[in-house]
Amino acid sequence: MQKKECIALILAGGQGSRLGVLTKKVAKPAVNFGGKYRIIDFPLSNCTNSNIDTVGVLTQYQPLELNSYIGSGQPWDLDRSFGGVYLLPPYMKSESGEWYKGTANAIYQNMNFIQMYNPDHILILSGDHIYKMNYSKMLDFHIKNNADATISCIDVPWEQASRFGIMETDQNMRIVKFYEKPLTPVSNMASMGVYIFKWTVLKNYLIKDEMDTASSNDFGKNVIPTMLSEDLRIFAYKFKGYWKDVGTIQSLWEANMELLYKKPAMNMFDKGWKIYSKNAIQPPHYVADGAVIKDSLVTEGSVIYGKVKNSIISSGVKIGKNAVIENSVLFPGVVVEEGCTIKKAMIGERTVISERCEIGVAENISGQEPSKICSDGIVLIGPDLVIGKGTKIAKNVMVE
Amino acid sequence: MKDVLGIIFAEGNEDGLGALTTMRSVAAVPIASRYRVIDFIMSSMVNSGITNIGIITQRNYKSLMDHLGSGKEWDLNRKIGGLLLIPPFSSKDAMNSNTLGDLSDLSGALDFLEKSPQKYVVLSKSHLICNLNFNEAFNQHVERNAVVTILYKNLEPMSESSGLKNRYFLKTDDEGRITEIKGYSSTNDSTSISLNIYIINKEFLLYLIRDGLAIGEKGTLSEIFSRRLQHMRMMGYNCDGFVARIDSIKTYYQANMMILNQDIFGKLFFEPGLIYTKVKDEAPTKYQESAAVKNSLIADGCIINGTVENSIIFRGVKIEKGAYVKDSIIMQNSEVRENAILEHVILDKEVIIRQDIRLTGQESYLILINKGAIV
Repeated sequence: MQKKECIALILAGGQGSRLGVLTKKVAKPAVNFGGKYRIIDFPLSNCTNSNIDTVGVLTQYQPLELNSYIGSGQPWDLDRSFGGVYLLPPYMKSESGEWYKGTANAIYQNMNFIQMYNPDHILILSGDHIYKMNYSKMLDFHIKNNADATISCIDVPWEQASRFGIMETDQNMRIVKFYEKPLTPVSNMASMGVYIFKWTVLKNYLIKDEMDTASSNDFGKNVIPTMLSEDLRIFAYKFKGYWKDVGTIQSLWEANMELLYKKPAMNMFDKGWKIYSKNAIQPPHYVADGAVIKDSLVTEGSVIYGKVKNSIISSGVKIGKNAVIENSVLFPGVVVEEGCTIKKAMIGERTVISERCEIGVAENISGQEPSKICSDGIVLIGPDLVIGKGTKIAKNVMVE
Repeated sequence: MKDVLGIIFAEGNEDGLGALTTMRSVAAVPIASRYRVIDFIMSSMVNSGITNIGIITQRNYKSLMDHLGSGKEWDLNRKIGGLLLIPPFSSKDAMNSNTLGDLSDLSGALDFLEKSPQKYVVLSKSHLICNLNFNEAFNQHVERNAVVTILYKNLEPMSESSGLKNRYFLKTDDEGRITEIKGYSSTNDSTSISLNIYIINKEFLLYLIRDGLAIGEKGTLSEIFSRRLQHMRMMGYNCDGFVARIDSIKTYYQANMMILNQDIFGKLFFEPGLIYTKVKDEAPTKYQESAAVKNSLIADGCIINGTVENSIIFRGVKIEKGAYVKDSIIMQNSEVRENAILEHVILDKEVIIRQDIRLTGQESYLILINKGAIV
């Protein structure tokens, strides 16, 4: 029987409600990033570059755009005859059918899929992180330690440690204790939500976990603590490199801005570890006489007449004369007409900002409530909107 | 256009392109920041609904094969039809190719033509930069019961005279039927210049090839059609829209520079269809603090920290601080180091221009640097 050493499953069902209007119509993994990518391009490209050629993408919330984006998997070289990329939404079974209740339950419901490939190991990823990682090195570490499970970890700043699952390890990196979002962290070694399990071991625990009605069927809350309590061999794999959870508007904006650093922590120009994405079929971008572009990323299909500083300009964006864009992220197809000023904003796909708008300039404007979704002065404007001529939008406001 | 197949000649008119075509066919010459010449005619065919395309190659087609791959970017990786590369054909009884013109080149495609179910053929050379839709011309071809339809363009005013050598002019009657096909001469009085794009009934094309092979008929298709004008119904179809022909360094340079015009840019890349090309998965282009760019086309994957004016920049190009690039074409992965100055220069792929180097050409005397050179 044909088999695979290791297959990957990407948890892409999260709603991402903290991203506000950006995830109103699309799942979080399908949110645009860095000018020409979507968040899910990162785990998918990492799999391809790590020689993992079988990937299941577990979708649940607003899957349409994600489904059409992934398609046959060809942009990531994942259109394979044995293996490739699969979209796995919840489905009806003979007795009943239900939504994915938690991360562990989502894998449990797809045991038949995993069994098709009869893998030795299974790699669990999440669809909302920006990072470049060689999973095959982690797999080597997992195999060398004869581990039942390996959790990839990264050192986070101590003051943020209480937001993560924190590991305590012995000198061989074997995990002795796991704390989910501890109030007083004992270490700053945080779980990245990247796990490798021995499939035979995980299978049993998933079945046990499913039978436990008190469980919330989550890896971090239930399955891993249970495994630890039964003294399984669980190791922490230290990842060194750039890793960012882009679950909030602020972190998504920051991650975009970090690409603009003179020496970014994550090098998008590295030819040995390309991030693949579905191509938009656009011509080269055009920079007109009179345009000024500095410290920015600009991609194909944009046409720029105005001034752009420290910003991300995605494919097919049009920027009119005398418009000024600073510290902003413009998603694909955004049109900024003449004379607009846009500061520290994220603008959703295909939205039109009409002439002479001022966005993110005023601190407060009466009648405009700051949004709970936004912070640090970031303005968030949803997709497919038309902002009328001369509109002013204050900092921290979300427009739907 | 289900009943139409496409044939593209990857070669021809190479002589004028100098070093750009020493290692590649004209079809594979890089153009407009991220394309190859053949992308335009091939996308035009695909956007017209043609799903079965044969490409006739002659020499040095490695670079073209690499570019086209399975044809997936043009949606031509099909089970039924799709993309077929037709390498040079020679057998003992076939004539020696290269000496006898278009029919012997087409002889390699006999099998492809016979086995394809389509009844009509759109036949073109690869060297036209255009965005066309053949549906209207095809409908006219069928309605008017033509055997051959030749697409032409009105050349007005008759300004350029240098690029007209080897080009053919048509005359049509009131009904649109072609009455004359003639090579350019100083006494030329027609403004209808043939685009050398033909819609042909497949049976007639098969007959021409077989008959031509048997009697050793020579010459270009235009000449061959011209000889049969009186007996066969050949119609003209006037194509408006931007069409540039790449047959010399000069026309290559001019076509690139014309695309900087936003009216031409908008039409060429978006109307009536999109232009497809091989995807390279480059990151977006990064502009650094000293970047100053105007009136230029820039592809993905570049790092720009110098000054760029009126230029065409391909994927993965680096322009360092203090460098100045004006009226130039810089192909893929080339690097222009600090304080280098380039004017009216064409850099082929992977060229390095070292620090402080200065290369200044003229519009009438362009400097062309070969692939991989370090200056």
